[in-house]
Amino acid sequence: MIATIIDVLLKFSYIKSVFWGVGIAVIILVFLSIKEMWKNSVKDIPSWIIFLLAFGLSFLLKISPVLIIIGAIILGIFVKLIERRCQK
Amino acid sequence: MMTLIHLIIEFFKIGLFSVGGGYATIPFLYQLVHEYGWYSTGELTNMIAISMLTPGPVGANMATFAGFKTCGILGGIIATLALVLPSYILVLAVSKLLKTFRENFYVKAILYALKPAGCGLLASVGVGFFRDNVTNLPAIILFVGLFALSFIFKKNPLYYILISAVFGICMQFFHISIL
Repeated sequence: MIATIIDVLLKFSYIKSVFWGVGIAVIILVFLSIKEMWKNSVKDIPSWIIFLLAFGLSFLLKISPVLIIIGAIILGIFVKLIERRCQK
Repeated sequence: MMTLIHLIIEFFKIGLFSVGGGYATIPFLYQLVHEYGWYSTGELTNMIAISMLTPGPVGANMATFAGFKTCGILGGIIATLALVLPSYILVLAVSKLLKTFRENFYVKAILYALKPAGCGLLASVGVGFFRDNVTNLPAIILFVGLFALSFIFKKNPLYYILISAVFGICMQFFHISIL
């Protein structure tokens, strides 16, 4: 229902301006979420590498997020297997 | 009909692979902008804002909105169901074997990798949004202002959305070109 209302309202210039501003707010909120996620996830060198690979492959090469997630899972298992082997 | 089938497949994939809360769906929804053109980047940011302001999980709200934009009411219902279905199945399966899964080596390894990958994907979308939306002086001023305020308000989305909405209205009132 809200989606229908928004579609109609977006024909008005003031509402368009409101959404223009809200769009910028969304960018800030996305960056704040990245900051929060960063604190809990990027803690060591392998996680740095996974972060940079995911960012680079997605932003520069526009590779599908599904493939990136599958690649990250394989890389994560590989990293943890190496760590386990080193501990032994 | 083909669009509906694509909608089901794409949102099922999003539900299956977006691990880490509502924001994790954003990179997948952003990819649909380029792959299918069902909605624009601007419409996606509107969707995110509305999803934040409406009750319920952000991811499911975004699926409803994106589905509606693509195929109307039926699209909205189908996209939401397709998004929720994988997690519903997975949670049912995992809850039975929770103890086994929690300490499993491979599950730990997968979760270890998914977090930074999700963060990297979201960072790529954040930079993409910035590049597409912060293109003129008023947008830069608003962005810098909100960034500075983020140190005061921390993470309450309502403040950011209210301030930026008022800023947008002021721009229109003073006939300053923003679009």
